[in-house]
Amino acid sequence: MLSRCLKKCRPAIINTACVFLLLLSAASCRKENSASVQYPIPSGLKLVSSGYAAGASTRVEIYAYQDLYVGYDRLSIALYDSASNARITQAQVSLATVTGAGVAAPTENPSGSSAVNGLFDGAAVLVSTGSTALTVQVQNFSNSRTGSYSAPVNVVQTSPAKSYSVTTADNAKLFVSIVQPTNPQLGVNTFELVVDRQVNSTNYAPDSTYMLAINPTMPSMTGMGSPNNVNPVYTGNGHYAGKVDFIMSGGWQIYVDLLHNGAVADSTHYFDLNL
Amino acid sequence: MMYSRYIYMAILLLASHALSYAQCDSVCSAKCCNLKEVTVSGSPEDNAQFNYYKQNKLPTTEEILARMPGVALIRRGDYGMEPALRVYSAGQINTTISGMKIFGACTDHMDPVSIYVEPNNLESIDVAKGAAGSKYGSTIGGSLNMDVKEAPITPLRSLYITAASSYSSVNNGYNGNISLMSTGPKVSFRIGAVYRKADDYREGGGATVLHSGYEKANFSASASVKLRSWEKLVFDYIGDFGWNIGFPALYMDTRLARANIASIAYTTAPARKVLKSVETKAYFNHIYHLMDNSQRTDVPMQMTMPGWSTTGGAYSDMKLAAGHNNQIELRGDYYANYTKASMTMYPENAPNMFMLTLPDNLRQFVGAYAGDEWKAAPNHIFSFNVREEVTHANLLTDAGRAQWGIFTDTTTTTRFLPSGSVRYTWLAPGHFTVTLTGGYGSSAPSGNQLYGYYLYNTLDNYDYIGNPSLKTEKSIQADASVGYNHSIVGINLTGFYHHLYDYIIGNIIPGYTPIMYGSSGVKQYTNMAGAFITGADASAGINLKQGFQSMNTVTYSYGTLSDGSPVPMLSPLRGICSVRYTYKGWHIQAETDWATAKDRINTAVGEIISPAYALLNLRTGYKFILHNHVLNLNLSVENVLDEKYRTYSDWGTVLRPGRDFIVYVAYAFGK
Repeated sequence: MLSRCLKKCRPAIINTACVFLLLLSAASCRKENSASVQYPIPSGLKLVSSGYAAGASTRVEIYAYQDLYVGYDRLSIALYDSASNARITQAQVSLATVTGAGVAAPTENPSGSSAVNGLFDGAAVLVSTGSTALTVQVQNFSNSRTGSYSAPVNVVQTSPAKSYSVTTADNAKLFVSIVQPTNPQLGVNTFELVVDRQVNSTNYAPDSTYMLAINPTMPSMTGMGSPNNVNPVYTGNGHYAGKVDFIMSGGWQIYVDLLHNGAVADSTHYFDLNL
Repeated sequence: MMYSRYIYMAILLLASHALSYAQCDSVCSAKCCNLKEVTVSGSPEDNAQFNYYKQNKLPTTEEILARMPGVALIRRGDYGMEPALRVYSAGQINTTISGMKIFGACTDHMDPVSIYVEPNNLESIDVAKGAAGSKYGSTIGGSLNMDVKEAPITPLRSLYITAASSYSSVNNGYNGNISLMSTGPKVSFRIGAVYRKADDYREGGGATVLHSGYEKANFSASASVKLRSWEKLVFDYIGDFGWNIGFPALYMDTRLARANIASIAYTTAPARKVLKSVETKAYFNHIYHLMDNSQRTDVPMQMTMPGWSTTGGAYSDMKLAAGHNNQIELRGDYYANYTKASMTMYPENAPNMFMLTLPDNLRQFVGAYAGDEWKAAPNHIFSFNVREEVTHANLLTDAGRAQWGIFTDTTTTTRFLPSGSVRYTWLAPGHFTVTLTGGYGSSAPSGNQLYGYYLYNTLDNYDYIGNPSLKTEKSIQADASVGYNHSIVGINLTGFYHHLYDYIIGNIIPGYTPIMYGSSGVKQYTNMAGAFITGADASAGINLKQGFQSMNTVTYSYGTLSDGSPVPMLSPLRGICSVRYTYKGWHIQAETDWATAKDRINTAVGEIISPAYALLNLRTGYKFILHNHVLNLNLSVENVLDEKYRTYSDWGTVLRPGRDFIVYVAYAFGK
C-alpha cells in the first residue's frame, strides 16, 4: 500500500526535490553575488589589473577611468575576500608606484578605512611611460591581516599630454599634472593641478611653494582668452585649485605660470584641452 | 444698382495698388509700388508729407519709411535696413506688423521686421514717436506699426488682379509681384507674391560694391470670414524667404532667412452707444536666420551663425465712446519671445569652435493700455494714454546658464515698464494749430542687451556682452509744434526735447580679449546716467491747382550723453525738396535729397564723419486706362548726378548706389 503510494507519488517527490535544489542553488548564487549586486563597478571604470594580496586573504582589483597615462591617474580599488569572494569594505589601503627606472612618484591613498560605494579611491602620479609597478597594500580589518599586491602596469602617453616636466628658472625639477577638468564644459570649470618636485634621482614629493597663474587661450583664435578665471591656490598635498572659464568649445591651451618667491619660474608650458 | 456696382468697383479698384497708382492725379514715378493707401498716424504733418511721398510708389517698404519724417534707416547693406525713430532703434521702439510683435533672429540686425511686409501687402503705417507710441508696448522711442492688407467683406462678388515689374540698372535688379483678391458677402481672400533679385550694386562713381546683392520671395495670404453682420474672423499669413543677401558693411552675409508669420483675429463692431469695436488677435511667428562668411575671401576662417526667434502672443483691443467727445481705447496684451543664436567656427587642423552667442532665452511681456481722446471744446483737444507693462526674462537651458556663469549667476529678471503721455491740441484761429505733448516712457533692454555673448559689432569694432542686470531706459519727453494749414500752403514746425535716464550703451571691459579677429576689445552693455536729445522737424507743402505740387522737409537733432559725448544716431540737417507737375496722364517730378555733413559724431560707438551730399532724382510716367484695365509705364533716374555719398545712418564707409535707371510697368484688372 505504502510502496504503491510512494510509487504513485515518486514523480511528484522528484519534481519537488528538483525545485527545492534549484531554489537552493539560486539562493546560494544570490548570496555569492550579493556584494557585487550591492556595489556594482561603475560602468566608466576599466579594470587595470587584478591579483591577490598575499597574506591578507584578499583579492585586489585595480580600476581606472582609462588606460594609465603619464600624469595624475585616479584609481579605484575593489577588495574581495579570497575565500568567499565577498566585497571587503573595511580596510586600510595604501598605494605606491615605482617606474622601471626605479623612480618613485607620489601617490594619494584612499582616505579613511571605509570603502565608498564599495571602492577605495586614490590616485597616483605616473611620471613616465612604460612598465611601472603599482603596489596596493591592504590591511584587511575583517581578518586583521596585511598583505600587498604589486601589479605590473603599462603607462602610456596621452595626446594631448596631461602632464609636463619642467626645470624651472630656480633650477627645480617639477612634474606638473592636471587633475581637473576631466570633462571640460562651456562655462566655469574647476581647474586643478598637482605639482610634484623631484627631491632626488628616485623620488618626487608634493610641492607647496609655488604660486600659479593661468592664462587660457584658443590657439585657433590668436590672442583670444577668457575672462574671470581664478588662479589656482594651494589646497594641500601638492594640489592647486582655481577656476577656468571656457566661453566657447574647441581647442584651448591653458598656460600655467609658476611663480616662486614672486619671480616667474616658468611660463612656457600649457595644457591642451578640447571641449 | 448697376451704377452703385460701378461706383463700388471703382472704390475697390482704387484700393488695388496699380489702379490707385493710375488714378492718382499726382506724379507717379518709375519707382513704383502697389501701395494703396499708406497712411501715417501720429501727426498731421506726417500725413501730409506721406500722402505726397506715397505717390512716388516706392518699390520697397524701406524706401517708403525713409521718406517719413523722423524715420531713419540704419543701413548695413542694400537690403534689410533697420528702421529707427529719431535716434531710437531696436528695443527702444516697437516695430510691429498689424499689432503683432516680431523679433528678428539675427543678432546683427540683418532681419528687421520691416522686411516682411512688401508694399503690395502694406495697408498703412502707423508711426507714433516717443511715449505716445506705447499702445504697442512700453517705449521711449515710439512705435512703428505696419498694417497688412485684408480682403474686405463686400456686398458683391469681385475679382482683382494686379501685377507689376520693375528693372533697376544700378544693380541689375528685378522686382516682380502679383496679387489676386476675391471679395464677397461671406468670404473674401487675398493672396500675393513678390520676387526680388539684385546683383551687387554700383556705387556713385562706378565701383561695384561687393556682397551687396540679394534675392528674396515673399508670400502673403489673408482671408476674411463674415460671422454676423458685425463680426468677422480674419486669417493672415506672411511667408518671407531670402537667400544670399549681402551686407557689405558687415563681415558676414545672410545665406538663408525664413519667416513664417500667422495670425487669427476676431473682430466685432456692434455699433453700440458705448462699445464701438473689439479686436482680439492671437498670433505666432517663427524666424530663422543663417549668416555666414562663405562668400568672403579675406577671412581667417569660415564661420556660421544661425539664429532662431519664435514669438507667440495675443491682444484684445477695445474702442469705446463716452459721449460724443470722448474716444477711449483699452488694450491688453501678452506675448512671449524665444530667441537663440549660436556661432560655429571652422579652423583648419583644429577642432570646430562653438558658442551660444545668444543662449536660449525667453522674454515674456504682459501689459495694459488705456487711451482717451477728449474734445474738451471745439478747438481744444486732449489726448491721454497710459500703459503699464511687466516683463520677465530668463535663460532656458543649463548650457546657457553655465556659459553665463562666467559673468553672473543672476540671469532671471523682472522689470516694470510704465509709459504715458498727454497731448493738448489747440485749433487756433487763422488756420493755425498748436500742439503740446508731454510724456514718460520706459523700454526694456533687448535680448542682445540682456544675454548677447561676444556679439561682434562692426560699427565700433568691439565684441559685446549683454548684461542681465540692466535697468530699463527711461525718458521724460516734451514735444511742441505749430502748424499753418491752408488749401494752398501747409507749414509745420515741431520741436522736441527728451531727457533720458539709464541710457544703455556699451562700455569697454579692460582685460577682456575679443573673439572676432581684429576686434578692438570687449564691451558690455551698461546704463549711463543720462542723456538729452533735442531737435526739430519742419515741413512746407504747396499745392497749386494748375498741377504743381511741392513738398519740402527739414530735420535736425542734437543730443549729448552724460559723459559729454554726442548721442549716437543724431541726424544732421537734412531734407527733401520735391516739385511735381501733372498734366492729364503724364507726370514729371524732380526731387533733391540732401544733408549737411555730420561731423559731431560719437567715435566711441564707431560713428564716422558723413560728408554733405545732394542728390537729384527725376521721375516721369504715363498711365493708360481701358475699361477695367489699367497699365502704367514709368521711368525714373535716381541719383542723376552719380553722387558718391552715404548718409549718417549708414554703417562703415560703404557708399550708396550711384545713378540708377528704373523702368516700371504695372497692370491692374478688376471686375
